[in-house]
Amino acid sequence: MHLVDGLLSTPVLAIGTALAAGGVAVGLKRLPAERLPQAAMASAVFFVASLVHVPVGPSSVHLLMSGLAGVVLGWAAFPALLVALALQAVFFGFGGLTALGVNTLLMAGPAVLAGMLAGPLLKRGKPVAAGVVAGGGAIVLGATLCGVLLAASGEAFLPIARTLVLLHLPVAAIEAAVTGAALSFLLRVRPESLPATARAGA
Amino acid sequence: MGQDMEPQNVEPGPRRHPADARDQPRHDGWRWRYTRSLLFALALLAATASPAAAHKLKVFATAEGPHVQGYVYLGGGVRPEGVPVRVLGPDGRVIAETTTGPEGRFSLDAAADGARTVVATTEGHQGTWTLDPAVEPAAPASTTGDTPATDTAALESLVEHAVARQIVPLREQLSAYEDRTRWHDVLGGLGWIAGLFGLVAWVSARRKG
Repeated sequence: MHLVDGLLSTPVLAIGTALAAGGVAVGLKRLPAERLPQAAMASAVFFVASLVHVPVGPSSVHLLMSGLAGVVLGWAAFPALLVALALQAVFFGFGGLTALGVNTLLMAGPAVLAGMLAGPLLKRGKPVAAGVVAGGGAIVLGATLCGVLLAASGEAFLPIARTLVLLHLPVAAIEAAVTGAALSFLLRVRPESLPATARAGA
Repeated sequence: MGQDMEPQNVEPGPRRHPADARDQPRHDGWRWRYTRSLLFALALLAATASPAAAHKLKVFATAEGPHVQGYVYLGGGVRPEGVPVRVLGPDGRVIAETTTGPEGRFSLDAAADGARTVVATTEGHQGTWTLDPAVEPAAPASTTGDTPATDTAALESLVEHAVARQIVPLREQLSAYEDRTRWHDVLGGLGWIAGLFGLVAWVSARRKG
């Protein structure tokens, strides 16, 4: 889902980049120094996750682990994923540099949303369910948002959105499982690294 | 006056019995064991995984005069069928288009004066390949009735086409090799993340202190 240069129309690119900049600004405000290690870890995990390919029929997709970033960091997922995306563009050639803002919106936006949805589940002590919501939700929302962006740039929405979501369902399933396992591990061993439980004072 | 004085207003000294140190982080505590087995599993996974080709849509194409043919592939070698492929002229206008068939192959006629670009687009990915007229051979010259040895121009054209055909596998390999994700790229990116984190942490610590 890393969009390359030249796929989106200029207005979509401009609006997407502006929204991403806003998200990064909010994220930086909500990134205290104590959460910097988590931000670096989430950034590194996202950076490496795209190397794990999942063959899907005639095509293949890759993992993202943006859902985990959304749960652990909240809005701070925006700057963390921006850094990882910029490095992926420079080192691996994933996605175009002009599309960096839009790609950040595409990855971090659904991550933050999925993290917010999964927060209550985590507070209630259900890390696996939270992981399923965050991991699977971030992917499905991301695929849909990608379809929206491409549709706004001229492609027909329903076919492309359907294709993208269907293509990413296996990834969503894998990410749901992995995020669930990761959250249940974190909740048991280091609950203070999770913002929801930290706020609940658990 | 000394023996009944109990140190009640003094913090307890260092624990002397290891069995009492339940709250202190010990390296054989259950948390550490849990973390250690997870780290071991991750290290095992990392050792078996290898950064394969970059997850991008790529095009490989060759041309003989107006005829363009090639194939489309993704990182990992998957060759998708049904991918729209367009050939653009030097001015960027579409000369011809088609869709990939089995094995991601395509073949079409697209004549132009100058460099042509083959563009494949699917689901948010796009791959391009530039056909440079200086590199690709021109249309095969029509042979005359004479034996080729006496017609130098025809002989040159034949040799040119033969060589172009022979080096196609080499060019394919080179194109696929160029985009392989290498370990040093992964480590470089991780290093930047660590460095950036360190820099921000240092700046914020200075601000506080």
